[in-house]
Amino acid sequence: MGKTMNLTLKVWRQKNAQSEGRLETYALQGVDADASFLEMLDILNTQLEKRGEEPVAFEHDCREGICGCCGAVVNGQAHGPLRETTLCQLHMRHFNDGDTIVIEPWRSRAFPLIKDLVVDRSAFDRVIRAGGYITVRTGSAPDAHAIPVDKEEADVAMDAAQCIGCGACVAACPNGSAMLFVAAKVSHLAHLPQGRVEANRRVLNMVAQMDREGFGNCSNHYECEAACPKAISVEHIAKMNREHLRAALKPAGS
Amino acid sequence: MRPRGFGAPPGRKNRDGHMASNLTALVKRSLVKKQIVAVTGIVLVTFIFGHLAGNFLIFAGPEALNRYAEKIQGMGGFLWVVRLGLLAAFLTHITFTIWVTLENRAARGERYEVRNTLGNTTWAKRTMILSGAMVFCYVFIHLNDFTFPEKVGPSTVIPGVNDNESLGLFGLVWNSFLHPLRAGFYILAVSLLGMHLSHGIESVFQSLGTPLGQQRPKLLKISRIIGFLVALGFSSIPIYVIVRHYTIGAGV
Amino acid sequence: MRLDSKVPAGPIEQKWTQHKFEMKLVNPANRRKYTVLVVGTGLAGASAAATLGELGYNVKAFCIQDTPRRAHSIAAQGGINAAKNYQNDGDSIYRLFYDTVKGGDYRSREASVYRLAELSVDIIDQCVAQGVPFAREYGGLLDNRSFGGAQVSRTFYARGQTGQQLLLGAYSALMKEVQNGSVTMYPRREMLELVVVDGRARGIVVRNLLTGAFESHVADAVLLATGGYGNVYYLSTNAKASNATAIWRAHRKGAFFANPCFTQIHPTCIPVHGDYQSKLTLMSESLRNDGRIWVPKDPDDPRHPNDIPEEDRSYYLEETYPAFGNLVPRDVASRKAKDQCDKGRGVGSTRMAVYLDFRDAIERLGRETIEARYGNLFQMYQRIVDEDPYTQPMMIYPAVHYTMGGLWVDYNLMSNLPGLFVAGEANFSDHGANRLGASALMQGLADGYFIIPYTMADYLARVQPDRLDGNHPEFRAAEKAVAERAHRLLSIRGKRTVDEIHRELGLLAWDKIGMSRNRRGLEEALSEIPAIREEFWKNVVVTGKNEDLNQSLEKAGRVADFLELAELMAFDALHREESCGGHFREEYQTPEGEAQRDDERFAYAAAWEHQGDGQAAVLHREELTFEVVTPTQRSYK
Repeated sequence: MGKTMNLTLKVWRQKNAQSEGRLETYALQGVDADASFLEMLDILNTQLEKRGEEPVAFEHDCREGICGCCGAVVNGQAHGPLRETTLCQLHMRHFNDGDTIVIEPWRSRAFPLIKDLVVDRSAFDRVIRAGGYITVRTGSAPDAHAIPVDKEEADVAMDAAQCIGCGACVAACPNGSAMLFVAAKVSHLAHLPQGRVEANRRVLNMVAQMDREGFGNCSNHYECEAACPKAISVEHIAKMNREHLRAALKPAGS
Repeated sequence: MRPRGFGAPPGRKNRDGHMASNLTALVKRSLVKKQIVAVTGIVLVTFIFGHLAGNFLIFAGPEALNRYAEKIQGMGGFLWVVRLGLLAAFLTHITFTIWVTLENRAARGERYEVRNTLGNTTWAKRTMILSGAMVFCYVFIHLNDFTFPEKVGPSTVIPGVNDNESLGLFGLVWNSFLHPLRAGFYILAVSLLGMHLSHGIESVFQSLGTPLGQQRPKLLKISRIIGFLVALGFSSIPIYVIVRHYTIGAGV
Repeated sequence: MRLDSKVPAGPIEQKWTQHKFEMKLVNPANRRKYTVLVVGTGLAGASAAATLGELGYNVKAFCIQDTPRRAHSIAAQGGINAAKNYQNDGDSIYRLFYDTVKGGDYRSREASVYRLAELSVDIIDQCVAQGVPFAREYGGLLDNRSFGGAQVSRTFYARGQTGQQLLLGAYSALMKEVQNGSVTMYPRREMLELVVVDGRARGIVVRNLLTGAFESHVADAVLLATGGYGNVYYLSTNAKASNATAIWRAHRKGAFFANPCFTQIHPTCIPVHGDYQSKLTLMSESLRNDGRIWVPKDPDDPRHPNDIPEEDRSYYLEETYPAFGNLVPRDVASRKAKDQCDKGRGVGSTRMAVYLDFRDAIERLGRETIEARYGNLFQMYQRIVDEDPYTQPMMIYPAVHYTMGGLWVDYNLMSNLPGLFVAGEANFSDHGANRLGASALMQGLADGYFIIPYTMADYLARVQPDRLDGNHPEFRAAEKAVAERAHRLLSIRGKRTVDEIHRELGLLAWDKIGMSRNRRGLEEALSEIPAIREEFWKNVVVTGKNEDLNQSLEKAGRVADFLELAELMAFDALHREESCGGHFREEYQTPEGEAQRDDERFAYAAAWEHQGDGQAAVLHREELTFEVVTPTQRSYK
């Protein structure tokens, strides 16, 4: 056991999208500094359940920073104070004994609240659906070595492809914009020769869907990059801007 | 509540990659709106640089400045083309930024109870619409002060200088800046402009998709330096007028 | 009942090709008349759903998360094997096949494994075409690394996030089909019951996790790709939502559960550090390529690991297994770590850890190379343990990772229930008693992209598409049963939380059905598990109501099923009086402490048939015949 701490939590509780929400205050004693943030919430929930109260609903799954389920705004920062870290990988040693911690859900019109800290991020799926893929039928692929790929381009593609779809970029953006998420996918595929073939169509359709979902516009605050647990660079947003410009200027049928 | 699921497949039109050739649909795209703001921004920044360079002629004395002003006035029809072009760029810039800002407000939805920056946004970035709006308001004052008035008459005369003859635009500017409120407003406005540009210039590159890679932090710095220099450059004029007036005087 | 594995006749190299030709096809115009349910959207489920959608079947896909992209396949780190032999180091389909059969300690079905090796090469082609950004060399071609249990470099990887990239590839293919209208996606749905009508699997009942509504879905065939059951142990490297409910419910409806005791303990995980801990984090096995495992020779050595000189370190794997060194298969590496800790040579505050040291690799290759290879893993370690693995050795300990057991399936991946197919970790196939690293991704994708689309077509072609009504009594009864169960869980209102009871079960399972087992422990487990189960149904507290997002209720249902499955695991482990792969019975070991198989008595897959609550499951054997590979005592020396 490492050192322990006492905390005051202010957690957003809201029954559902229709009802009013508010910050509830809970005192939590003896939290191990080596516990993760979600384990700290587990401890809170155990206490609540034992009292017969409903536990705080929050999404989580892999608890190793890759599934993209978890996420909350902690003291005004998406995924909390540590950079390149999902909430599940944030450990309590980064807080101090006696701290008050305010925990809120992702807030954005495109992510309607479901309950407590759980929001609906299905807008992301619909954006991917609109074109975030390479159209290739199973079994029709040529040999993997048929198309050599510049290593540096492949590395940039991988940088972008690391996106876990957690939504922190949207939550952190003052405009509730999904540019980093969409750009990561556009850029990933645009950097690979396999993805170039339908690059124009992809970027036009994905951006159109992004807009339809009600995400905001990018005004280059770059808070998304700072909040991104995978440190995806806004360079990819520039790439998407470029791709979109080129695609939009290309006359139909040419 | 039902999970929103994935909806029905969209119709043929949406799936058509070339729908964007429809111009109205195109300008509604978030990215395109920002690119229009960027392009009009370039036009305005170019004007500002030119304007600043012209303004510096004040340091060369009344003759140089007035000759420059007359040359511009003498362009006739072309001047109006430029003016209308600028006006169009300005209005487009404003319309689109307001549009974008309203959409962004709506997209944000419910506010956070506690909000902290993660370190990348700045005051200048968050207040673009405000600094822009204030600069916009000041432009009317500015036009009213310097562009619309006739460049003759008492307001262009600096008492005791050049036998109390009209000093044209030079005199107008000189007298105007001796007025502390006007000088103060001017400095405030150009400082806001500088702040606006410190993010605006960098933003132009990003919105138009310039690949920057490792150079990105450098661009951020350069953008801030330019913003600062623009503010400093414009501010130098009222300061120069005031300092010179009360030291060696306006006499040439 | 005789278990027919339906392995086609003919030489092993031609079985699959010949079988593909002999299987029936469904005319493209008729495919949309068939409805197929795919439960789970990890590698196996997403790839199968996407491919069946491409072919034109009417596919409905279900996942418990908010989006298919979150399935736990995403957490696989190290890589995916394929017999491409791009390295020119002697690899071949046959060698991959051989390594996998041997790695599985001769408890897998030869023909299935051969097919897996054969398909491995197509998987890489498919994934590259989808845009999976595998690691490349400067010439633009693909890079490989080596993995445990193999002496060739055949593992393709995308940094330390191979599973993520492959899953996102499959997910994008799935989204493409959702866009095309051939697949309908049902996220936030948990399958709670399989519906069998006239002996055929005809649908499922799911709970809508947001509304609590119980929804029936009727189909011509059902594919379960719901992953493994490692979370029986509470602490494992599995995601928190990974559960056995879908396969367990199918088992209760008649599907045989094969080799439940074959669980894999992964050797390189971050050690347990506190009782509030909710999961264990894996450090990819690929770390063993460059990291050296050791413990201090003196158990009471008080020095910092960096100050312990070479002569006072015991590189026990390199010493015992000079040929494979740190790259012995997982079961061996895990057991040896446990041995060292049992001998008191463990390190760290709990003394339940061994060192994994990169000092020599960093000296040899430079920090940059190590960073490029394992950067994200090192970062993850640093996050959790708060120590810098670049400057001091990592501490690792084995943890439950994968379950080789699962629903029994024949060569066509169909269970004994007609129309019920099972793919990926959820089935028992291919890995025998131990899975080699980088093989799970391979199996999931082979099943989903390349096997199910053929074998399911063959099944569908033999049945008529008929419109069974969702109001059929079997569906109504299933809905009623799951609703009653939810109601019962909610009405107990006891004193112990689901997690507390789950943790108790986990500790017991880890102790007695864990890395090594013995008769006494297993018998104790068999008497203790029903007691915990009883405690659960009497004293668990589940708050809230059904008609809402209720995560406690979700967990409770899953733990209730784990409490039944754990018993079958112990039962299976007790019956298998031999040691093989991940199943190590202390009574059956060689003088050197290696697993001692008993091929005379146990060269079979044990498929258990459910007999009703409180009754012992009935054993069916699928005899394993080895026509190509001769089973020997595995040696990695």
